[in-house]
Amino acid sequence: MASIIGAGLVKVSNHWNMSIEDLAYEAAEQAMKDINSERIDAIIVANAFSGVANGQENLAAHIASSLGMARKPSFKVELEGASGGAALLAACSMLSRYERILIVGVEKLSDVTSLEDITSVVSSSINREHEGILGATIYSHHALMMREYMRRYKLEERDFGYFPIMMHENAVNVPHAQLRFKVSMEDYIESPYVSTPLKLMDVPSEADGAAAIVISRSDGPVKVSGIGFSGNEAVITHRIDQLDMENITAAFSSAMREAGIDIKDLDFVQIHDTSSVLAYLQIESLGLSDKGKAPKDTESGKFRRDGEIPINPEGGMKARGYPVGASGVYQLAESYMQLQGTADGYQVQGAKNCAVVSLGGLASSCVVAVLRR
Amino acid sequence: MYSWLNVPSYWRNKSRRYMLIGGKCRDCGHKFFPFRRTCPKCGSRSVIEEKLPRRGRVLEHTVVHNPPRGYEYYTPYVLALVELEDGAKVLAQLTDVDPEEVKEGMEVEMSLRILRVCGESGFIAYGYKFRPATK
Repeated sequence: MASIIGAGLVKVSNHWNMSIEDLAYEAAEQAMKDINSERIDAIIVANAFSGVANGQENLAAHIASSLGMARKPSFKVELEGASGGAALLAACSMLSRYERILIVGVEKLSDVTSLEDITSVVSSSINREHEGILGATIYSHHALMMREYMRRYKLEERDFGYFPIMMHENAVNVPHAQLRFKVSMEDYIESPYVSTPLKLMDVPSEADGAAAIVISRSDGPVKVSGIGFSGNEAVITHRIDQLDMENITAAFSSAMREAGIDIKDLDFVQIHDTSSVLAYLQIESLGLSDKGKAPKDTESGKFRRDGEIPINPEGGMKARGYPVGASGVYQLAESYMQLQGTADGYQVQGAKNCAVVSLGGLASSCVVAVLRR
Repeated sequence: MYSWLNVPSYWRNKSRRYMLIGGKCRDCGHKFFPFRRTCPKCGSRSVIEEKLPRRGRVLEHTVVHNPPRGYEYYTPYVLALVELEDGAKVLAQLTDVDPEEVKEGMEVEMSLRILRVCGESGFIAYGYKFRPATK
C-alpha cells in the first residue's frame, strides 16, 4: 500500500516575485525536508494551465531541472482541477517501478493580469471549439447548473451563501490560506454577479500556489488506503441530466470499498468547491446530505470544523484558495498534516481517516482518495 | 493572445454551425449537439448526422457579466441551454431580447448571427444564436 512520507505547501497568493519553478521549488523542498532528494526516483508535476497561462510546456523537465533532479524521470499530469488527484493515481500505479515519487502541484496564474484573459485561461477547460466560441466560460457553466439546482429544489440565492461563509470562517487561522477573513450573508448578497445567478463570492479567485507530497512504496505515517476515479460527459449539452453527478458517487464508493471503511469512519472530507452549487452537489453525491438538502445542512453547522462531519476544515478552494492544477496536491498535503496532528489553525482533533475529492471541469473527472494514519 | 479564433477550426465547423447539424443515434434514437461519433446516451457507435429543428425552449439561462477575451464588446450577453423540439440540447446565446425578459420555458428559434469579430485579422465568425420565436 502506498504511503505519504512528506508534504509541503506554499501560501496561496499572488506571488509576483516567484516564477513557476520558484513556487515548485519551495513546496518540493518542504516535502523532502526529511528525505534526501537522491532517494526520490521520479517526479510527477500536477498543473493545469502552464501552456496557456505561462507559455511554458515541457514543464516537468524544467521543474525537475530547477530542483537539481534533471536526471530523474519526470512528466506532467494535466486534468484541470483534478490534476493533483490524477497525479496521485499515476504515482500509486507506478510504485512497482519506482520506490519513492515526488508529486509537485503548481499553478502560476498571476502573470495573466487582465480579467478577460484570466477568464479565457480558466475557461480553456470547457470545450473550446463548441462552447468557448459561443462566449461561454467556466463560470457560465456553473451558473447554468446553479439555475437548474435552484429550480429543481426551489432554492433562493441566499441558500448558496452558507457555503462560502463557512469556508471563509474555516480559513481565518490557516497560515497558507489566501482569504483569511470572515464574510457575512449581507456580503454574499451584495457580491456582484459573474454570470447570473452565480456571484463573485460563489467562486474562488485565481491565484498562484504550489504543494508537494512524497509517495512511498514502503510503510509511512499516512497511508493511501483507497483511490477511485470516474468521469462524466465533458460537454454539458451531452449530459442527459444537468445535475448528474453519479460519477462522484461511483469514485467515492470504489475508494471507500478499497479502503474497507464506512462513511461514518471518516473524520473529515475535502471537496473541490469551485462553486457553491458544485460543493452542494458533491456533498449530496457523497451521501452526506439528501438531494437538495446540502444548503440546509450547511446552514445547520453539520459540516463546520467542530460539526458532525467537517468539510474543508482548511477553507476549501473558496478561501484557502484555488491554484487549479495544484489544488488536489494541496488537499493531500493538508490531509497529511491533519492525520499527523500538525494542521495548526485548522486541525480536526484526533482525525484518523479522511476522503479527498479532486474534480476537473464540471466534475467531468472525479478522483477520490481515502487516507488513514 | 487568448482568443483562439482560427480559420481552420471555423471552416471545419461551418456547415454544422450554420445549419445546426447534430447527431442522431441509430440504436436508441437520441439526438444531440454538437455532433460526435458516439451516442452520449447509450454509448452506441452507430451515429449519423442529423439536421436539428430550429425551434425550442429555454431550459436554463445565465447573463454573462465576466466575459472571456474577444467578447467584452457584447457584454452583458445571455447564454442559454435550449431544448429543441426533438429533445436535443443546444448551448447558445440569446439575441433580440432584453436579458431581464428571458424566462425558463420561453419559446425560441435559431437565427444566424455574428458570434464575434476577431480584431487582429478582421475575420468575422458567424454561427447560431436563438431569438424569441415568432408566432
